[in-house]
Amino acid sequence: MANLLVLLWSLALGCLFSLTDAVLVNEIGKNDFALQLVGRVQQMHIDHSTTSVYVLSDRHFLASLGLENGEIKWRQLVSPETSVFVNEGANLLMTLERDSLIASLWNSKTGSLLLQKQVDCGTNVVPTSTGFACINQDMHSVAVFSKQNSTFSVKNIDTPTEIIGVGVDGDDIWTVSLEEDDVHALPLGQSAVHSKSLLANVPASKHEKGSDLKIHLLWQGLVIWSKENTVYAQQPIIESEPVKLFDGAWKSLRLCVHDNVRASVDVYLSDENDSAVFLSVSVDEQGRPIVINTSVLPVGKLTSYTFTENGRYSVHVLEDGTLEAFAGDKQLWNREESMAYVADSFMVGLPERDELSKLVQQEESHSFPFFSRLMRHLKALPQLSLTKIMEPKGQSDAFDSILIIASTTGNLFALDTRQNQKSYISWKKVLAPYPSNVRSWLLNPATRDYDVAVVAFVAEYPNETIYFELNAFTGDILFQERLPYTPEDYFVIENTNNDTRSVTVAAVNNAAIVITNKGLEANRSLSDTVFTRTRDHIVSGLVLQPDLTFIEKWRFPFTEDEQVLKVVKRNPKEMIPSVARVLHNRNVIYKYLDPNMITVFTKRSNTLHIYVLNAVSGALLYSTKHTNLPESINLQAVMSENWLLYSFWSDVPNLSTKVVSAEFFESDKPNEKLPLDNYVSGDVNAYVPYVVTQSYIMPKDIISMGLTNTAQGITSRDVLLGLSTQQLAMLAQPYFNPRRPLLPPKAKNKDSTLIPYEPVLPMEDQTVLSYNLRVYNLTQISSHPSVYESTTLVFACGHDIFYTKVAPSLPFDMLSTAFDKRQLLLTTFAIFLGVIFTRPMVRLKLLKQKWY
Amino acid sequence: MSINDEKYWIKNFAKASGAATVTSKKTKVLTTDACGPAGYDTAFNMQMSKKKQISENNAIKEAQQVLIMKKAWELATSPLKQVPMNAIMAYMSGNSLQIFSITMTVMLVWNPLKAITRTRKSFQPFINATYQKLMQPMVAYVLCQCVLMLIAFFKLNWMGLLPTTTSDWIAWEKPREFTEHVVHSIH
Repeated sequence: MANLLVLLWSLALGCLFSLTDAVLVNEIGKNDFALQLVGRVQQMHIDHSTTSVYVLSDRHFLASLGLENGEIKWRQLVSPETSVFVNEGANLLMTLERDSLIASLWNSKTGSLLLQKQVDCGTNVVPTSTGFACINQDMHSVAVFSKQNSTFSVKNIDTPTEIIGVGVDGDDIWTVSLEEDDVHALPLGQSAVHSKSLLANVPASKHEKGSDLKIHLLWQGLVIWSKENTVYAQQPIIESEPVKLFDGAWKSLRLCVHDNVRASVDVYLSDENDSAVFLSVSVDEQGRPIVINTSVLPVGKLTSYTFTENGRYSVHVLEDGTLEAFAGDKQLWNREESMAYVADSFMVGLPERDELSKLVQQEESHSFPFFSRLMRHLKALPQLSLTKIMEPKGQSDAFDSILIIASTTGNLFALDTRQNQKSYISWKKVLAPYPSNVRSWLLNPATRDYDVAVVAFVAEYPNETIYFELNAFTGDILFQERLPYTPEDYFVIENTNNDTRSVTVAAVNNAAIVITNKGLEANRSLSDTVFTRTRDHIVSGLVLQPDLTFIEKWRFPFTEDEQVLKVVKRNPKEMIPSVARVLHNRNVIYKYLDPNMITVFTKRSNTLHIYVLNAVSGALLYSTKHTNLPESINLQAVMSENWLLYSFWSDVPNLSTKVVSAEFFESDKPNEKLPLDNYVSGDVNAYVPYVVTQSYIMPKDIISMGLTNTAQGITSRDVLLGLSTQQLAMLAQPYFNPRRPLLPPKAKNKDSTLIPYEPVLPMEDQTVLSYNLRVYNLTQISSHPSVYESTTLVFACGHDIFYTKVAPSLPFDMLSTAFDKRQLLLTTFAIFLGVIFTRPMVRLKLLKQKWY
Repeated sequence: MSINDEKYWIKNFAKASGAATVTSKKTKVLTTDACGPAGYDTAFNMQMSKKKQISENNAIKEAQQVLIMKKAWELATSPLKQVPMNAIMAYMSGNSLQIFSITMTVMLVWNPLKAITRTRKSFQPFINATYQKLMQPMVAYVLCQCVLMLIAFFKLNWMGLLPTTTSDWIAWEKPREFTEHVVHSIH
């Protein structure tokens, strides 16, 4: 019997430890990832020598992508209006900023900047073997820039005639001029007698000088011209026959040129029926024009296209920014660059994890939670395998999530953090092309009774709106509605029963239209619901009548020249762990916890106004203002519990980022609360806060702000900051506490719970969550509770995407990385075996002792 | 032969008096061979002697009772002697939650409790005394142990482990409920 008990105990212990997999591993790539993007590519060039694709995007990224896998080798941010030129053999990239005429030379392998210099450069820039050449402003000379050691040398060469283009053939530079409906090519620096006529090699039957010959393009020596309905491509520098591109009826011709790509031109022809024909023209090894087979290309959606000279590889850009690479007809890779254009983003909890957290919560409510947990573990025992027991660190789905990104290009992406790093995208939906505005939100999280998380997606067009409801886990469209109008506002009315979805209500001319196909019957009583609406100069509260019309209940009187910049409110899902804040002497000050509190930021001339309102009655609870601000103030704000935090640029005393923290309490005296009933109506005017504020200086620019969020709210709510230094940082909440005492030097701090006040917030290296990565333009930060109270899942996006987990108050409910489960299990097993084997020996010894 | 030899001393005494012999150490037989002096009433004298012995016995008993009570009171007030030492130790061990201070505080609470439950056993040697008389030192003993325990409670209070402030009961305080609900427009 005793042996049986020992055996059972060992099994139970092993079972418990095998399921104890909550080990926080703070390593790069462990439950976190970063997706680096470049944006919609505008110029690109394939470099065969380094198997790279050099791209320049509309987000001003100059990047090198691997030709075989599409991964970013390096990327650099360049100025707007930049063109890039490639010197393939010399491993050099040149960029020219067209507005400031600054030429930069880059190492194409490493992306390092070798040289930067202001040049006096004109139009029609082409790369040469030693630098680049361009036509000067007078159109009668060519400037040839050559790299010499650490600088550029410039050589101006005059031409006998007015030139319209420059071309390069090997080491030779050619100028091209237009004379009497013919094009002449002339080697640079030679007399006019060496010029060649474009039409010299064209059979006489195909053209007649002075007829309807049209020169459509002249670029780097390649000429696209048409006569009547026939379109030709010709390289006049070498003596070649023109190549017929198209022969038939066409109405319009559109050409797309890649600045960097030598002799690569996309030709779009549309006929009478507006059906488009796409052609891409390049030159072969002898310099003759060739037409690339474009059968694999989706005609009509393509914006840019390039290929290797032998035609083996091709890379093209779709209109939504997707970058695709082909080897022949086989797709090598694609990059979803439209994720860089984020309209809305949020996280959705995994159904299994939510299920587990609900199970744990139910167990806690039992009379004997320990036995409930034990029973659950014993039930899981049959599925237990030896490999699972010996697995040292299996974190299951504790730190995983579904990330939803709605792009301004009309796409909806779901990223599953459980997947491997190469294919995080769980599903992608191209829902509405070219919308004027996109909005998306989580309509319904997954619940026990309704195990589908529902995402709402709205694409607005000038005269219509398309509304979608999708399953967040599969991407299936659950509901779709085409509205012949553009709603002014959308409201989500949450369900009260677990088996029904929340409902989206659109407001159109003060009329409420229930978009979702389910009615409002199953939902919350609307008689005590106030809807808030924000306009440029107005913030108002509405009530919904039984006939589904909105009536204005209150309106806050802003002046005409006062513009509403931002409205922030509390997260309605956040847990309040305590109704009061405990002081060092164990007294308390009661928090002002009005869930209907909103903060409105307005700007009038150079003054920022802050109004804290009760959204039920529109009553002003608190207001303040900051004066002498610059024109752009870069306002960021968050609100949680009884706490408001906002940052802005200030000119006083000098230009810096200021952070203001305001905490709302019921009274300034300890242990005292407002003498009101526990049931508070928004119309009670006596419920007003006592506000404590403090301001700080942030040494870095803030571009976005968020707060960590945990299941029970016990863990510290630290502040997540997207920085202009392309980093994501987290700063502890105590630094923003407005009650930090202002002490003279060397004075003793009486309240050890508060850090003494210092005007500059400490931004140390440990505060950066994105380690050594540059994650660009993180304008949206969202957080989601994990299964463990200590840990928050953080998702930041804007251009790049970064996902990680943080433990603001350290991982207090998890085992440390030093915990070795394998060693513990082996030790327990060894002790068990020791007990089994030594037991008869001990019995024998005791028996012998009785005899002697 | 030593003067301390009991047998020798009794023998000599018997010889000197000529009236008494001692047969053994434990049993004493008094024999009277000679007549008393004139006017000496032997019977009366023996009666008086008995009375005197009784009164002496009573006095001894009373003295013993007093002594017992004195000892009982000494035992009852003995915990007070530990007060200064315990107070100093409680102060020196600090108010932070460490193994030493926690052990110290547990001992300060546990030892008086243990002593109070063993009060009757502690006063067992004095149980011959009247129970009513012994009640007072026993009560005093319990009170003194309570004084010792008081130090422990002060210590617990210093450590912040006694729920004496509002913050200790804040978890049970119900948050305010708000009758209205606000729905904000998307963006």
